[in-house]
Amino acid sequence: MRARPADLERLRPEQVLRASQAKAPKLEAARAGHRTTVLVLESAEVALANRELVQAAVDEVVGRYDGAVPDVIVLVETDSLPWSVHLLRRGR
Amino acid sequence: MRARREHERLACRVAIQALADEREGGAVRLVSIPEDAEHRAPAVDAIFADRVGEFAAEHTRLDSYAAQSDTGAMIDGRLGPLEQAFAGQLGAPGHYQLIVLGGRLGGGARGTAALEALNGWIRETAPRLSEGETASPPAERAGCGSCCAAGRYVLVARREAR
Repeated sequence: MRARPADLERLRPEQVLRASQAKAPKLEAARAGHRTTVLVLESAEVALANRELVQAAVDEVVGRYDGAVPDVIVLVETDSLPWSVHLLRRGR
Repeated sequence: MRARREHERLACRVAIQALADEREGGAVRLVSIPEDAEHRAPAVDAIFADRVGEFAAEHTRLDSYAAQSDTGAMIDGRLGPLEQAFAGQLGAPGHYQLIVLGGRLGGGARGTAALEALNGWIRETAPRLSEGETASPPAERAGCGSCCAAGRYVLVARREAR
């Protein structure tokens, strides 16, 4: 059972932006040598989200986010087994 | 709390292993858990390594909108009993997704009547849906209150087991 706001695709990038603002500074602080920084986005819902929708939101946010961007952004879908992993972004 | 963090760390490991596979780095190993060791400042969830080098991983659960988890908990609380009542009772293999548009169910006595009407509609409708087919309650069921109005709910049939 899932709730779906009418303006969901406007709200989704805001969630990605919040995640970036909260997590990217920690990843940047952990950058050392050739260490790769990875933001792992977990989605556990098949009803309201899929790879394409999250990809579009990430692309939009990375384009306008002026903070440090993780080397890699990955989506892990955990709503069914086996979990699936999608590479959404490498660098800016 | 512990189970949640273990789940998050597992999600990170699965993601990092996929990246390691991509660069033929072999099996990843957990190097450290900075968020446990670092108490002076926020730190990443985990550091992993493969044969090529290290990864700093930070996990976040991505809701589709703010307060989705709260809304989901409210919906689970109100509609959870329906889910239990329907388990194995709808006469067709697979499972169903019930999407609540707008995230509002209504409350009080009117909300209870709406849920009873929704219960009846699902029981009638679900067995007739084929794979991927969707349906919404008809407007005439709105008599119990706006919560059950057409367009408020979408029922999706999935014929594979969940």
